[in-house]
Amino acid sequence: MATLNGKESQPVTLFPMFNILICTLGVFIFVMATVAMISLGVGKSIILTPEYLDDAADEPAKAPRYIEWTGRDLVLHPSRDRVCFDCDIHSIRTYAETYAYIDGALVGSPLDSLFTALSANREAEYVVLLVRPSGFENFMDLRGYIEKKGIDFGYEPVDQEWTLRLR
Amino acid sequence: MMGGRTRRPERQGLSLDSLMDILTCLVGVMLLVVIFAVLEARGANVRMRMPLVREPPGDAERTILLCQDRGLRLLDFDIAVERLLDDPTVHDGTLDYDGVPALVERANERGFSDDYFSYHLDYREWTDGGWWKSRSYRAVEVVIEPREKQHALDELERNPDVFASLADALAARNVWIAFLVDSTSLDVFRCAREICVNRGIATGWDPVSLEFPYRQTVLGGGGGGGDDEKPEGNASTVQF
Repeated sequence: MATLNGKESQPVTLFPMFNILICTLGVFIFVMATVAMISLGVGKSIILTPEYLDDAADEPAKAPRYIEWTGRDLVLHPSRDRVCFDCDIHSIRTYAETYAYIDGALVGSPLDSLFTALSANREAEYVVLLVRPSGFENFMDLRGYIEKKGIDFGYEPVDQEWTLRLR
Repeated sequence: MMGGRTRRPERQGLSLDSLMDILTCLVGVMLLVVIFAVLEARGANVRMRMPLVREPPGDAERTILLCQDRGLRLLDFDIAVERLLDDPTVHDGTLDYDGVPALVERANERGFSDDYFSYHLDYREWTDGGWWKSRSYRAVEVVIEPREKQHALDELERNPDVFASLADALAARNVWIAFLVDSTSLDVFRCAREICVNRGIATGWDPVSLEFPYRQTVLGGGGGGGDDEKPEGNASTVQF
C-alpha cells in the first residue's frame, strides 16, 4: 500500500511568490515612471521643420531667423533670448510712440543686434515671426515696426501650448 | 520476459519555466513601452510653413476667408458691395448727397445674402466737436451678419470635398485668398490653407477677430484721430 512518507513531502516554499511580488512591484514602478515621462513630454515640445509655400524653384534662398511673439515678449530662437515689454504695445496712442517704445525696450539686446544685422543683410536672411494667439491682438503693431525697419519677414501662427524647439 | 513491474511515476519538482516565459514576455512589453515613451517624450515634429511676405499676385483679386469660432466662412465682401450698390443712380452718375438715403433704402429692399453672410446698408449722420467748431459727417456702412453655414474642422478633415469645391470655384475666379484668423481657429486655417495651396491659389493670413454684426464703411465717414493714431481692436486694421 502506498503511503506518503513524511520525509518525501516537500515543504511549501514562498520564493516564487516573492519573485512574483517583486516583479509586480517593479512593473508598477516602471508604469508610473513611464506615465510621468509621457505626461511631461507629449504635446509640450514641438519641433518645427520649415516647409515653404512656394515651389522649390521659387523657394526663398534666404535663411529664416525665428522670433516668437506672445503679446508681451519677443523671444529669439533657438537661443531663447527674451525681451519683455512692460505694457501692451497696442495701448500706446500712436504708431510713432509705439515704435519708439519698442526701440527703447530692445536697446542692447540680442534682438536689437539681430534687427540691425538683418536690415543690412536683406539678401541673405529674413525673420519669421511665430505668433501665439495671445499676441494676435497687438501683432499688427509689431508687424508695422518690423516693416519700418526694412526687414524682410514672414509670420505664422503657433498654438499657445506648444513649447517650441527650433533647429 | 518482461516483468509486470510498473514504474512508479517520478515525482516532479516545481518547474519555473512558465514563470520564465511570463517574465520574458513582460520584459518584451516593457521594452516596447519604453521605446514608445522615449519617442513621445522627444516631442512631435511639425512641418510648418515659413512664408516670406510678398506682394500679392497683381492680376488676382483678393477674397477673404474668415476663420473664426472654429469655423470657416467665405466673406465675399466685394461682391456684396457691388450687388448692394447696383443702382441706376450709381451707374448713370446722378447720385448726390441727398440721394444717398434713398439709395440705401432701395439696396436694403433688394437685400443681399450668400451662404455664409447676409449684408445690408446703413446710413448714418453725426456731428463731431463742440458748437463752436462742429463738423457734420455722413457715412454708408455695410452691416455684415453671419448665417448658420460654416465649414468646421471636422468637416474639412473628414469630408474635404465640400470645401475643395469652393476652393476650385475660387481658383477659377483668379483670386488670392486672405485668411482672417482668430485665436480659436488655427487648425481650421491650416487645413483650409493646405487645400487652397494644393490648388495653386496664393494665400496670406492676418490675425483678426470680427465682432458681429460687423460694420464696414463704404461711402463717406470721417472723424477719428490723426493719421498716426491707432484704431481700436485688431479688426479695424484690416482693409476690406
